[in-house]
Amino acid sequence: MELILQNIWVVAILPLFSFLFIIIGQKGFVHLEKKISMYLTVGVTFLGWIFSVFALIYAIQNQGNPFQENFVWMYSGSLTFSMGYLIDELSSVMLFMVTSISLLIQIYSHSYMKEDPSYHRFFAYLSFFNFAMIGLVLSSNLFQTYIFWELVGLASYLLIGFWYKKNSASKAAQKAFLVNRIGDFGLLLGIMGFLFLSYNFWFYEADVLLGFSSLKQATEVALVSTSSKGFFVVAFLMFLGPVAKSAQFPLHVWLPDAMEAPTPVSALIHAATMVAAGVFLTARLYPIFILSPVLMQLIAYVGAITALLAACMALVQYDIKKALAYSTCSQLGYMFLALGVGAYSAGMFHLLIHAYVKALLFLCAGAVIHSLSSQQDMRYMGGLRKQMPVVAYTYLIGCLSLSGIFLSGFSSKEQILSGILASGNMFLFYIALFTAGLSAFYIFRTYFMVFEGKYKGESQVEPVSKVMSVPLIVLAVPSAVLGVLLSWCFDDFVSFGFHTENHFVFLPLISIVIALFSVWLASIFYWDKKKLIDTELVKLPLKSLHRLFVEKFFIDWFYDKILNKIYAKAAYVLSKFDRFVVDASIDITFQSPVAAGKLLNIVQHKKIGAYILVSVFLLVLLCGFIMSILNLIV
Amino acid sequence: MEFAADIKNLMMPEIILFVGALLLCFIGILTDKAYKRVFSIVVLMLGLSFLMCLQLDTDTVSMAFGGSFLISKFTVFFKELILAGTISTIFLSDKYIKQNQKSVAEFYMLLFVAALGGMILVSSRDFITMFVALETLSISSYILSGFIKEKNSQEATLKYLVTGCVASAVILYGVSLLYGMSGSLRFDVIFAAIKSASMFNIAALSGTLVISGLCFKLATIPFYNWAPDVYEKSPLAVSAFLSTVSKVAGFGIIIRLVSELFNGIWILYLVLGLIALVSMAIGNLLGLCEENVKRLMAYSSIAHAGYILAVLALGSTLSLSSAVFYIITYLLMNFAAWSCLEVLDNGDGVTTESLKGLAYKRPVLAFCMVSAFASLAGLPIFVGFFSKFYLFQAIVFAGFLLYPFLCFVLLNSLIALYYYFKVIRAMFDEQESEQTVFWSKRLAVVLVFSTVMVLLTGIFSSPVITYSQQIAQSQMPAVIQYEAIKGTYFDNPRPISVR
Amino acid sequence: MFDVTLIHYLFLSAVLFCVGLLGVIVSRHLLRVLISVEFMLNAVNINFVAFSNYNDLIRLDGHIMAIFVMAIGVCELAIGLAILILVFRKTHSVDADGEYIEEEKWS
Repeated sequence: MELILQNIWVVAILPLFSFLFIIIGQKGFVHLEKKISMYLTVGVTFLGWIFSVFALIYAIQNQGNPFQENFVWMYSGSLTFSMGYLIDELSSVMLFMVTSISLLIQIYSHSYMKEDPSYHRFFAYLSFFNFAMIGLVLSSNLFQTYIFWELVGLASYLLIGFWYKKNSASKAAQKAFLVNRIGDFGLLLGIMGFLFLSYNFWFYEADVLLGFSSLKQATEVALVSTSSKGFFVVAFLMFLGPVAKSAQFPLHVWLPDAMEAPTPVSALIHAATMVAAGVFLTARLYPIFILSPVLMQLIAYVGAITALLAACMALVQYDIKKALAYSTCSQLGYMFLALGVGAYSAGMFHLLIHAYVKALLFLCAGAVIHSLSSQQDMRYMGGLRKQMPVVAYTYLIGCLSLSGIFLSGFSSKEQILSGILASGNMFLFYIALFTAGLSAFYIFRTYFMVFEGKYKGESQVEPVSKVMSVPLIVLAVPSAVLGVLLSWCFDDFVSFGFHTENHFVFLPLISIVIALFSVWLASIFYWDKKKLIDTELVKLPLKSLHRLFVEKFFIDWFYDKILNKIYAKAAYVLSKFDRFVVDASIDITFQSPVAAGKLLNIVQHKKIGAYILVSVFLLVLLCGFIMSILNLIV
Repeated sequence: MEFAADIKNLMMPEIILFVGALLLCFIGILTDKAYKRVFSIVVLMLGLSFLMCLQLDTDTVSMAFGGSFLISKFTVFFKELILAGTISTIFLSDKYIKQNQKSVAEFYMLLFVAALGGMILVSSRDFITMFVALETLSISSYILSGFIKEKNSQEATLKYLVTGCVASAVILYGVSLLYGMSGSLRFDVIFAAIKSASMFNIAALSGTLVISGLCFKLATIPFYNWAPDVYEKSPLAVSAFLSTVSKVAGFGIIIRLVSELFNGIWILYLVLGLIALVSMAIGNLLGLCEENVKRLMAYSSIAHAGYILAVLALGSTLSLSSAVFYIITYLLMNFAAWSCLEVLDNGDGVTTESLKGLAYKRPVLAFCMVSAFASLAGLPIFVGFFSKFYLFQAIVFAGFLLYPFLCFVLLNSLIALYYYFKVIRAMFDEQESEQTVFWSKRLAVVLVFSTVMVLLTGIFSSPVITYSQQIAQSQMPAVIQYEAIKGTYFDNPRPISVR
Repeated sequence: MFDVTLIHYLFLSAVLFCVGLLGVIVSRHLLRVLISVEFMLNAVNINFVAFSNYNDLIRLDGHIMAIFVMAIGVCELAIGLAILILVFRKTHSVDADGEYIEEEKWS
């Protein structure tokens, strides 16, 4: 046990090596046998999964007694930056979740990416993502977290732009990267600000700079050294990181575009693990955030707004992956809402459940897209339940769970709702309840459009391979029962010192009724309709609202047209400045060293005497310098 | 039998090298074509010597030969660096050896003797030993640099030789003044004499002479201008040897002289700083308009020696540790760069022109090259960044009076960026030029090893910096420890009646 | 009688050293360059022996050093002559002015 925990860094490092192995050998030795890269990646991840089981057992046995080890990475003056790993309840759960989902998705992608010419590159990137994500989960201090945070962003960028020859894919990758930069920059500023505020603590008392285990004391020091407004600013800057990474309003615009990535990637990175990293970091930084009540309110409202807006936008999507992407946004908003109102364990519980459920839904969608030869539009699907029953029934399990009807999702959603209710903010409670109804509606809308009714597409439906369906079945199990199994003990395990009690007995009943009502409503609109109804039925009474949803609340339009124009003008002016002032001055200053170099070069390539002459001249200068200084003293 | 025991316990690495050199000499006489066997013998000998270095007890300072040979943590560390550099050079020279299979044993023998000289040099404790060791290193380097018996290599060798002779004459002149002042050639006696008789001025002057003479080994001013010619004309492995191993030996003895003999003569720190500034400026400026990559490496090595001297001039433990770190990393980066060049070298030398399009043709080699040159330029994720970082940090911590100094060093590394990137940019040029690439397994070993180390220590440098801090701390109180150890034979000579 | 003191030795040595240095710088003939180098080394030797006589009569370090310097000076000279012979074979000239570089290019 001790041995495994001490060597848990292996879990993070091995994927890096497999990445390097595949990427270096992709044209050479790996190319000969396709399965090498798959076996390597999957094997490494499987090892990681076994380690994560042990980590989980340790965390269960030693609650409140995290295991951590650190080593020095860099000295900078009096500060010592460390790298290390921390295994507590939070990180062990995340580690288990990441490795298990990643393992299944890697097996799935072997079949999904079989025909792709860049098969090896795909697995190399998956390995790299694993390295970054596990490093992020295990990191013991904020500084290390930031490094892996950026690496995760890089992995996401590479995978979104995986088919980089497609213009939309490379554009989407750029968009994701740029939007994430805003958040990352905020996070960096926040970390620096926090370090500045609590410098005395880290310098005199803590052993690990910016370590998570002593964050609480540091926050108290920081709070003393500044006003509450200053503290809010620092905490807000830190919160920008999770906002961008978890695609929260107003930085959510990159996530739907990120669906240009291959579907396994969407399932792994943009639904289950990486986007959840924002929630994870918020949970990690909870000791800081909780001391700023204004920020907690802000977190709750950002979450609520995102949940509502994204659910609305999901209602009108025809692209199955985009609908699921908006659903992810919305669910992540739910988690932030829970964290914001203080329902810490409920938020993390929902994170866990949602990861499995959303991975399952995405993989099902991927299977459908794969067998319809890359058709993503739901208007050209329908009635696929008969051709691919496994996919349909697992998808149905996912849908039920997501909409909170009895399965896993029910318990997590119920915990969040009761948490909000316990905080007493009824406005947020109604938004959450309404969003719950909406999510049941949109998810069953996709189900009915894809699997029920009659097939409306033209292309041949190919059968789903067995390698693909195994991960679906495996994922369906936790999606169905995990919530029920863990609902009674999870808030004891992962908690932040306090519990939320359910005061309202009828809450489960209400939420189920609302969900069932929404499903019924969805079945009216979308079950077995030959015509595309929602364009007509919904459009007539709610025309302007529909437009609003389709145009994504004009947020993209705002960024694209308004901000871009201002930015382009400013950039133009600055580029002229750069050209005529900065460049010109550099050109002029550059000429002088080159001229000096040419002057000095005269001596080179010459006879021996000249060489010695120069040497003697310099020597005499040195001695003369010494003499003159000695004379000055004497 | 104190003498024999000393040799057995303390001088094993040198003895092994010496025996190896003799053996190679005999092999060279007996046969001319045995290069496969010779190689394994050579590597075995060097490895054995390295192991012997590792097993030396370095916790306490001990001496052999009645106090003229010093074994301390610092000297043993430098010996290990020299041996590691020599092993790398031998792997690096594989291509050269394969192409001209004549006098292989002699080539290796000269490398052995040079390494032996360097090892004795760093642990010498009186000027006779120092001079003999220095000349052992120098003379074998002269022969090595003229090993190609064609082209203009003789001209370069002659320049090297004459400059070296003048430099050693300058050192000797300084030594003779020190001797006249103190009546002894031993470091500690001279140190005591300087202290007690307060002959500050003469010590400063002669110290300047000694150190500027030793700068010949580092290829810094005043004796810098042999470097480009010699690096260009001699076999590439020899250039690599000269720019790494013999420099390491030179740094070792300079650090020891400054911290043991000239301790407290602050003017010498000033001199070191001056030498550093001028040589980094000269190296970088000359590098700006150079097209031949081998000559470029010479200028870059001049500049790098300048950086290291700059940080040595501060004279604190922090600065010494960053200098030691810089020396280690400099060794790594230089071997990475030289082995890339050796792969590309087809006899006519490597120019920026001939590198064009390398990145598209041979991405792996180009990657190694980029990492080596970016590391030399001091960019992050490569180890060069950390060595520059600790260097600047040492200067910053020396006080705000040195900020102009810092600015100058920064400006220099900025200028250096230009010519390193000239090489890197040439590789990404669209036009492709003909490249004949020669791989050999042993060459690949050193290339891969040094590149991996450049990357690995670039990401994770703390073990190395911790180690170099230990080394620096062991050297800093050297003078104090000396005063505690007395009573060896030569320290208390029997009185001889003199008429 | 003129009394030879330490300072005379030192002066002689310094002059000899400078002559040697000058010889290295201005000589055209490579052999003369090498001889000039020997001048410098011997100047240093004079210094050592003189200091030894005046300062260190017990251990005679200076004398020992002088012998070492001579021996090593001979080694350097030997290498220098060997290279000189190589240069002469290639270019039929022992000019230190670097003319033989041009010559070789044309031939």
